[in-house]
Amino acid sequence: MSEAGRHRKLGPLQRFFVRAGSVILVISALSVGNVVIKFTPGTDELGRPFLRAGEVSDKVDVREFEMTVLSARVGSVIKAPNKWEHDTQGKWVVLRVRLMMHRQARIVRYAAVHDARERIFHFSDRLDQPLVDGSRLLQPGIAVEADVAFEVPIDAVGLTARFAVNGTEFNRRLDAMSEIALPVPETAFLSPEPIAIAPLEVKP
Amino acid sequence: MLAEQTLGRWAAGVGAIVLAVSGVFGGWEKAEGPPPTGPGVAIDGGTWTVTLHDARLVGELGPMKLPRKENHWLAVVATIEVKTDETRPISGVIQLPETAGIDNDEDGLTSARDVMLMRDATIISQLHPGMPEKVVFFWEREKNSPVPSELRLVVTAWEYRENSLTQGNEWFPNEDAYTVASVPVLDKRDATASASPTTGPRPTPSTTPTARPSGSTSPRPTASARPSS
Repeated sequence: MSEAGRHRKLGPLQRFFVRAGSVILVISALSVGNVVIKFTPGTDELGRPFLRAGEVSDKVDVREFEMTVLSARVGSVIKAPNKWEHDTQGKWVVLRVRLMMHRQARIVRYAAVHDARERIFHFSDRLDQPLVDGSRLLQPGIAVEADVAFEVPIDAVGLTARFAVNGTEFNRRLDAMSEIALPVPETAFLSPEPIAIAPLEVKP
Repeated sequence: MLAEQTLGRWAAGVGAIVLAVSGVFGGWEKAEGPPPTGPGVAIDGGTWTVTLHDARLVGELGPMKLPRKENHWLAVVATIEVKTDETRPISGVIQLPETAGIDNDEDGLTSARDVMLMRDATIISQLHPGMPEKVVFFWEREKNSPVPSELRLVVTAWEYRENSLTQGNEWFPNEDAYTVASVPVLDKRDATASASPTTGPRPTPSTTPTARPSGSTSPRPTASARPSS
């Protein structure tokens, strides 16, 4: 019988090598894929906000608005515009902030302080904070100033102020966000004198 | 016959190997029962630790005005510590299963109407990491409901995982990790009625604590109006 046109029959050892080779190829492909996935940035990292860095008194362009932190105060008690006093187990960080929209009326919905341990402290909801609580529509070209209060633990240091237009994590992807370094000292002593929170003002 | 015996030996051998491997990875360790719950026990909710104290039936208290004056509040006192790295909303941390006298939600669990910070009787909607606080959850309760000796409630849990739609990581409720707990119920309606101030306006309760109106001039509640710890 002619063997022309037929596959050559493999011996037992050759069959073993062919099968082992197939298994090794599959394992290698999976391993390479795993390494590629491991070193490819995830969606959260790819979509992280663009930080616009600055310091106190700097005018920082946050794409849709301009932001200036005019001052930063730290204390153990604040006095809200409605005369309520609020203590804390940590410390209050009160920022005097000036915001102005560039071209479009928008609301600043994200205001937080980040610390050196990458903890995120949103603005306090223990008092009315109309500049950042979603109730104040900022008109283009009209600057508005207000105190914004944050409550952070005593051990929170290396603070930066992050403000952005979009409030939800999903909407903040690829958005611009401020990153203002705050000169908040690492001190155990906090003045018991209440920090007076000034009401929001339009400052053309 | 011989083939059956060989197969049996193989099966026994594989079973022994599986058991041995399972033992290496802790499969032979004594199974743990459900974690303890109840007053004074720290319940791990993934994103937070919740220590329940008690439940109280109270009248109007500080900023918590009753929408229907004839009713009363069911107030659950708890200490909550946020364990994540970011400020978390807390209004849904403790929820009530089907409970007599409560306007129960259709999905079976009812969130509190408001949460009050014990520290200064302000209505809050969030807590910050590293700053545990004693808070009170309020549900409105119908006036003629029988007074239970114990209240069953659910401590919810959330997990941070990938959203299959957006590919990003987000917080989702983890119902498998919910904890059912019971706390004693104290009837304090008479005490709160006598403790309420008789003069001067008090702040009105906020149904949307995150968006309180600006320029509010409501005064802070007096010490007598605040809940006793």
